[in-house]
Order: sequence, then C-alpha cells, then structure tokens
Amino acid sequence: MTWLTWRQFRTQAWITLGILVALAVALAFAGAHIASLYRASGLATCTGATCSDLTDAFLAQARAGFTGPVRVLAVGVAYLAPALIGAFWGAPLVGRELETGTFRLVWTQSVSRARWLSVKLALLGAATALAAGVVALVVTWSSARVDGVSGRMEPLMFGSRGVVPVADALLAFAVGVLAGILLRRTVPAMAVTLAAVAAVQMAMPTWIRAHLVTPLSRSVPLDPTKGAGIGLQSDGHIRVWIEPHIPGAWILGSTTTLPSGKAFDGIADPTYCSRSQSPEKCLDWVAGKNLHSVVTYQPGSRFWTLQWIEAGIVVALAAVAVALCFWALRRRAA
Amino acid sequence: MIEFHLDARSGVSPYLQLVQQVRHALRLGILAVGDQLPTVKDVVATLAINPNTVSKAYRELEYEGLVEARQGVGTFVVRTFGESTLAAQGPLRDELAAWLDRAREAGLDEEGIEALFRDTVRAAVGRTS
Amino acid sequence: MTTAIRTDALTKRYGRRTALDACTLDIPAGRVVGLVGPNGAGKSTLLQLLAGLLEPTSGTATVLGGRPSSGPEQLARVGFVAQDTPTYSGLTIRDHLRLGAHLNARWDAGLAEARVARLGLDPDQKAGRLSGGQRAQLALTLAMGKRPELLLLDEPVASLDPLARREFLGGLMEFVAEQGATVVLSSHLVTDLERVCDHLVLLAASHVQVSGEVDELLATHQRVTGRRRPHDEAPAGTSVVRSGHTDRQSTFVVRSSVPVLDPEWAVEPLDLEELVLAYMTQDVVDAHDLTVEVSR
Repeated sequence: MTWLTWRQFRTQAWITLGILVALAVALAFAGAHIASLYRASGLATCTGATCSDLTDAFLAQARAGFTGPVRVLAVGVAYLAPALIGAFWGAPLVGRELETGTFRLVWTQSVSRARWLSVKLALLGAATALAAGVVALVVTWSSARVDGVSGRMEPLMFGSRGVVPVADALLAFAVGVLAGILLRRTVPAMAVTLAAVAAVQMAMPTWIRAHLVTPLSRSVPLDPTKGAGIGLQSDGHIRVWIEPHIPGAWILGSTTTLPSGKAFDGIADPTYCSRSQSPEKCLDWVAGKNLHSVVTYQPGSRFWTLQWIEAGIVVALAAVAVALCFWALRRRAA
Repeated sequence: MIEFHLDARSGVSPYLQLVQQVRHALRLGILAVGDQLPTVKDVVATLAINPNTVSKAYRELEYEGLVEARQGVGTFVVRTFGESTLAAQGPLRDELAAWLDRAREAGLDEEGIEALFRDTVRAAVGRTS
Repeated sequence: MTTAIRTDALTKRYGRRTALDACTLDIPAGRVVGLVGPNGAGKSTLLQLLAGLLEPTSGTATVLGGRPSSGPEQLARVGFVAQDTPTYSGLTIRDHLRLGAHLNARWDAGLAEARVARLGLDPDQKAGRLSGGQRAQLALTLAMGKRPELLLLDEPVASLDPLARREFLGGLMEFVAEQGATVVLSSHLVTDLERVCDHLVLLAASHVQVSGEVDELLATHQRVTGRRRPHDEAPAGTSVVRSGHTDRQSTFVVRSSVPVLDPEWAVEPLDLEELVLAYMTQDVVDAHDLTVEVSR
C-alpha cells in the first residue's frame, strides 16, 4: 500500500519539492539581506527616542529593493499553500479513483478499503504537514527581524507564520479528500476545496481569533489638545478618537468613555460645540469632560498561545473531515 | 498432434465436434497409437471454450477405448480403428466411386445423392440398433 | 457439491430505482457462469454486490462462504474485472504487476509475468497507451495473479474486436483449466459466452428469469409447433415460456423434463441464443412464477 501511495504521488511530490526549494532559496536570500540591513540599522543598540526613527528607516529599507516583493510573495505562498495542497493532493486522492473507475480495481485487491484510505491519508497527511511546515518555517524565519520590530499579530502576518499554516494545510487536505469522495469528480472537488479553505482563512481572523483568549483592555486619557482627533458630525454629535499604539499588539478596537466608565454618548453641548462656535471652544469643552479611550487588544506576547489554540481548532476540524471521509467511503454507492 | 477447430454454425455441439475430429484423424491415419492429444489447457486457450467441453470429449473417447489419460502427462491414443479398416478403405472407396457414377447416370444431382446416402445410413442404423 | 455463490432475495435500490430485485441464486463451485441480460438489467449491480463494491439494500449474498469484501482474506479469494477494465493510465504494466504484488499476499508473480510475456506486452508501456484488448488482458492478469477461487468479470469482451475477444476468453479458459476456479462473466450477448459457459443466469428487468446448467437447460427446453390452438392447450406436462400464434399455427417454447411424444406436435431443440430470447420475450405473467430453477 505504501508503495502504491508513493507511486501515485511521486510526480506531485517532486514538483512540490522543486517549488519548496525555489521558495526556500528566495527567502533565504531575502532573510539574509534583511538581517544585514538590521545589523547596519543600529536598532540592536539604540535607546530612547532615536529608536523610533531607526525603526522607520529600517522598515522602509526592508520594503524597498527585492526584499519587499519577496516578503509579499512569502505571505502569499503561506496562504496559498494550504489551498493548493487541498486542491492538488486532497481532491484527486479518492476523487480521481472514483471518476476514472480505478477504485473498482484497487478496492478488489486484498486490502480493505479502510486500510487503503488510512495509508493514503497518513502518508499524504504527513507530506502535507511537512510541506506546509517548511513553508511556514522559512516564512517565519525570513521575517523574524521585521516581525521583531513591527510585530506579527496583525491578521495578515499572524496567519502566515507559526503553526497556523500547517493546520490550515491539514484541514485543506482533509476537506479536499472529503470533497473528492462526496462529489466523485476531481475538478468540482478542487473548486469546493479552494472555496472552503478561503472561507476558513477569512472566518478565523474576522470572527474567531480575537475571542480565543479574552482580549486585554487598556484605558488611555484622551487629551484633544495632544494628538486625539475630534470631529463634529452633522447631527450635532461629536466623535473623539485616538490612534492607539501598543507595540507588537493586535488592536481590536477602542471605545471612548467618561471617567465613570460609561460610554461617551457623543452628545455635545451646542453652546460650545456647533458650526457657529470656534473649534477651540469645543476642544476646551471636550477636555473638561476628562474622556478616556479604552483599547481592547491582543498583546504580542500571546502570539504562540493564539497560534496553538487556533491550530488546535483547525486540526480538530480536519479530524472531523477525516472521520467523515471514512464514513462516506463505507456508505458510498457506486 | 492434431489441432481442433469448431464450426459454430454446424448445429453439432462443440464436444461432439471434438470427438468426431479425433475419430476422423484416427480413421485417416493422421493419429497413430502412442500419439498425444492436445492438452485440455492448450485446446481451451486456442478455441476459447469451456474446459469441461474438452474433458467431456476426451472422456467419451476414453470410454470408447480409443485414448487413455495418463495422470499429469496427457491423453494418448491407445487404439485406432485397426489395420483392417484402414486396408478396407481403398476397395470400399473404389466401390463407392463406381456407385456415385451410376447414381449420376440415373439422373441424381449432388443434393439428391447426399439425401439418399443420409437416409440410407439412418435407416441402416435404425435396423441394427 | 460445494456452493460458490448463494444469494437470497438480494435487492439493490438506488433511490427509487430498483437495479436488482429479490435475486435468489445458488451457483455450484467450478462452473463458468454466463450472466446474460439486456443492458440495464442489473448484471453490473449483481457482480458488484458479489465483489463487495456495493452494499445490498436488502437480502444477503454469500460468496465462497463469506460476506463479500468482509476482510482481506475474503478479498484475496475473489478476483474482479470491472466493466471497461479500468487501469491506472499513468502507470506502466510493470507498475500494475507491482501493485498486484504489494496489495495481495497470495500474489503469483510468475503467473502474471509469464502472461504479460506471452501476450507480447512491453512491461514498460503505460496502461493509458494500451489498446482496449491489451488493457482488458492487463486487468485480467491482475485479477488472475491473485489466484482467486472466484473470478467475476463485468462485460469483459463487450468492447473487444473478435480476435481480442477470442484471445481474452482463451486466456480465461486456460486459467480455469489450470486453477479450477469458478468464473462469472456477464454479457448482453449470449453468443459471446455460449462456448465458454456451462451455467447460465439470465437477468432481465432486475429479475432472474432463468438459472441453471446449460446442458440441462438445453435438454429441457423445446420449440413445439402445431395447428392453431388456445394458449392453455400446450403439450401436456410442459410449462410455456413463450407462445406465438398465426391464423393456422401455434408455436410454443416450453420447458419440460419429459419428452413431448404427441405426434400432433413437431418438436425442435433450441440453441442457447433462442432459449435466452424466449425468456427475454416471454409471455407477460408474473415474472416470479416463471423463474425456473434447474439444479442438480
């Protein structure tokens, strides 16, 4: 069974290996170049306010030249790899056998259907984890210096590093196999797989990831004379906001509150704040309110915690898909 | 060794065709005592027929005492219709040829001759059995 | 006499469509069984149920004493050649033989390789490049390499030209002569099978119409012709399979275990094709009543 699995998979395996090597080489060059930029930037030894300027300069350099496109490519590959694995390894695994009728050949050899599927899933599942792992590893490694400065909690960055791409790939593979079994056609199964993977990659950061661990919140005094923005809306309400900055954290949102902790309703006193009054008058009025901005966020220190929890959930979903594969294969009618 | 062939349209069952072909070969001296018949495996491979058909034909020939199956070796001819029948064939053939000439003179065509011959054979078989 | 295949009220439905209805069979071991019937009669469904590729909706199938595909041991005893003889187009003949060796504990590499050599096939040829006949031979070789006690073949010769057909069936019969295996092969044409099968199962409209030893079937079925008379005045002691009438003449295909001696009737033997046709166009009576079981 191992031999047959390898024999049917080896072409894809060689192609994948080629792509991985090319990717690793490109990212190794980019990573080494960024590391040298970092050493030259002096960020390692800076103190105080100079660090901020050095950071901006370093990030601008990292975005320029060939390292910028390579880094964009790296993120793209990290997101695409699961989808491609699901579509090109998962969907045809059983789907093509059902489509071409070869299942009637292979299921009437002296190997039970369940064992046939187990071996295929185990070997290609391992290959999936390995390939996605290599992608995630080289992306994580080559981005380490930039991530260390600008953070890696932003949804786009988070999903392309660590163990999440590996989990996504395993889910994509399992979903691909399941789609192949249920649809019994390779191409529709590939399409369904791509859609399913995209949906998971979209749903996770949009609705789920932020709540995996209760977010932290921080209250910052809102001083409209120092950096906070203020806007007078046509209905007479005013909006006060601040651009919260917490290094390395993923900012989920902020609300403006009164000192009592109640949310600021935005209803302004028209004797101070209206089209006919001067903005200064309104600013003074707002300052007198002693408003605070409560920022909710996930700190950078939770990167691995969130990675493992999300990966755990995705792998659990993959396990469900695998169980469904066995169930569907036993129940299917030719 | 002889090679069998089957005529699908003859109406004669395949097993009987095989029996007749062996008898025919014995009569014509194509097969002699000690000769081997094709193995069942060879016959079925070339004719694409059921092995039981061949076995049945060989069993019938064995029952008639014409051939003998030797375990693991094959089936061999143990008796022919004898020198006497072979020797008698020449004169009989001459007589038959003369008779055919007379039948034609009497106005019988090919079909009439065959019909008369077949009827007479059947009647004779009916009388002796 | 041991039984190779026994089915009891075996039924398979796809949704509301019944592919096989209450099929009851008892086939002795060592037979070459011709499974004959028009397209869509349920032949493929029956074979796939026996091979364990399908699960019955109701009823049971017992193959060589076991439930189909109930485990590796059962799978090893049954060889299956599917309709259109699917093979892996990207794999070579050699790869297919290695597949057989890796997936079958009882694989006979010598038999398989000898067969490929005798067929004049190049082991490095990809299966996708083979002709229909060569592909069928490859699929048959794979099934034979298992040394099965039962070989199931689904329309194996339907797409083959006469020469390839002869070679395929010749190879199959050679295997039967050597191994003594039981074989079931289906075809919608009885003429494809009449030389090779000694047992006939006729399926039509999802029902078994007739099943029995070929010799016995031929011996017990006759066509009788006589002057015109009503349907129920067929020769005494016979059951009518099919009747036809002109204004002067009545023709019955009858089944009878005793000879029809009444001089009123002209009696003719049937060949297998005529027998099959008679059952396929039989008088519309409840099909169950007409199902004839001829067994020793």
